Amino acid sequence: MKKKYIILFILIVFFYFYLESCETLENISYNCKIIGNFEENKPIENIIFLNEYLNQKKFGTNIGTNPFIYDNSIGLNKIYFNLLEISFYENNDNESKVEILNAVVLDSNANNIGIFMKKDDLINYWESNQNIGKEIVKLKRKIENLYLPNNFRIKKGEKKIYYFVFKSIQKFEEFEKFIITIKFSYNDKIKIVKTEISKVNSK
Amino acid sequence: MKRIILVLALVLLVALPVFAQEVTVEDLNKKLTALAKYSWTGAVYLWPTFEYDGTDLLFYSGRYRLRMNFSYKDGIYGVFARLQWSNTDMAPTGAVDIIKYAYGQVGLFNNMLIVRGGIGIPYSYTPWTAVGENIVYVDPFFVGAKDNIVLAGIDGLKFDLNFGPANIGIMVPVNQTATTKLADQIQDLAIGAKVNLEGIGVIYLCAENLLVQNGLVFSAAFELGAVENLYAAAKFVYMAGATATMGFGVSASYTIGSIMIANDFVMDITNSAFHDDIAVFYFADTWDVYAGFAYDSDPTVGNYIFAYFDYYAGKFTLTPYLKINLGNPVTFALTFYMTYAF
Repeated sequence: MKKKYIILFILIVFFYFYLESCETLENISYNCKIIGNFEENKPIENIIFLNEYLNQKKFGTNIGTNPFIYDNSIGLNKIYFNLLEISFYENNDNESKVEILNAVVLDSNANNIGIFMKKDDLINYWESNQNIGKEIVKLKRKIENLYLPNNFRIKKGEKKIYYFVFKSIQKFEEFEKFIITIKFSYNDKIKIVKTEISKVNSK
Repeated sequence: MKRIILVLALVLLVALPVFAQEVTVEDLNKKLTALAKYSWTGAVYLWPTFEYDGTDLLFYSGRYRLRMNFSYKDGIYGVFARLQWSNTDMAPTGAVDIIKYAYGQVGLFNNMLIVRGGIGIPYSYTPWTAVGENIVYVDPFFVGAKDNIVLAGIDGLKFDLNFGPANIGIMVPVNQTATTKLADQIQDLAIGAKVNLEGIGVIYLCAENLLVQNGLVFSAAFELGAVENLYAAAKFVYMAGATATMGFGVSASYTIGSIMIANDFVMDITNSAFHDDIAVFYFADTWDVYAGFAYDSDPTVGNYIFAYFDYYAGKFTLTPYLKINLGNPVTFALTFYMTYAF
């Protein structure tokens, strides 16, 4: 009988934690403006910033389903993953080769505000996470399917959408404006694409 | 005076951006590394179960557990520990389940050699032993040659050699009994190797109790990675002893969009016993569900239908699990796996 009360008590505690987990986030709108036309930036078509609200809406609020949330430690300063969506489109060549070399993100004072995580970095992060346990199988599957690979090929008429994250100390949402620069090789030619991301209504 | 202060404040305000220091990638990396140096995470687990045993409806908690993970990383050094309080004793050494593991590590020669030492060190070379582990974890997801599964672990030392696609591990158990002879310790040596064949798959080899007479356990496994959307693994286990035992297991799954079909088969060759699971999974972005059927040649295990539903809300995970035993009489158990991770 006593045991049942203990279980009931723990159930109530869990229900409280569940309610605590359902925090609401503000959906701030962003303008994502890629600099230059498609022919100059090809095959990168678009880069979109998914704020915390959109990230959690799309991939969930739990590290069991969302590998794009940093698993912060208790009582220590937080680290953030900031999620971006990138789309590629090939309109000319039969098949093109793309290699992502690097990505940087600067605020309006030219300060680096995030570190680009390569696919392997993200997988290593979750594999060495002591808290994730068996969920790593699902997370790894998700990263393998969705994350921006270091190398890939794209066929004529094909569109590919990938996701990638920058690790940071401050959420990107706290910045009015930031610029993302992606350096990549397209059919062995080095290219650089810049995107300016700013809050709607910000100057 | 007030005017001077106001003017000075204005000048300072205008001048601030001029003096703003650029933050480089290196600066930011240093800050992030410093922040991630320590980590404290944990979880609370509760598994209340309703069970119908053929005559009565029971209600009990299969497990309640509090787990705390600690890590400290500073360059090449690291300390890792897991503390756990549970109603079920699952300690690696069979001891009181407080310290699940605690070990220190150092990476040498640009991490080509990693040395770990401590208690209950999780090790990761042994592919699943078809005879033992598969039966414990009758779950299509985790049956197969996985190298990320934390097995029982060892108390002692572990050496990891990483070069190119190969990874070799040597495990030296250290017995806590003061009367243990050196020769006895050496007998328990275990050695494992993992070789990643780019675009083809991964090979695992492992030998435990190397020098123990009639105690050798040898396992070999292969994971196929060459076919898109297909996961396939096979493994073989040989356990020497008065009566040598051999086991064999195959695991395969195929994914089509959000749906995955998986089958796992495991066989104890020596005793002609086998077990098979087949399941269909559906993965949504924020939840997943799977259901399947298990057949076992051992009538005490029986045949059963199982179904899981994983629901995630913030740091909370709820997984109702239904298992219907198709015996006579038909029995069932409904367990609510609840986890709050922090």
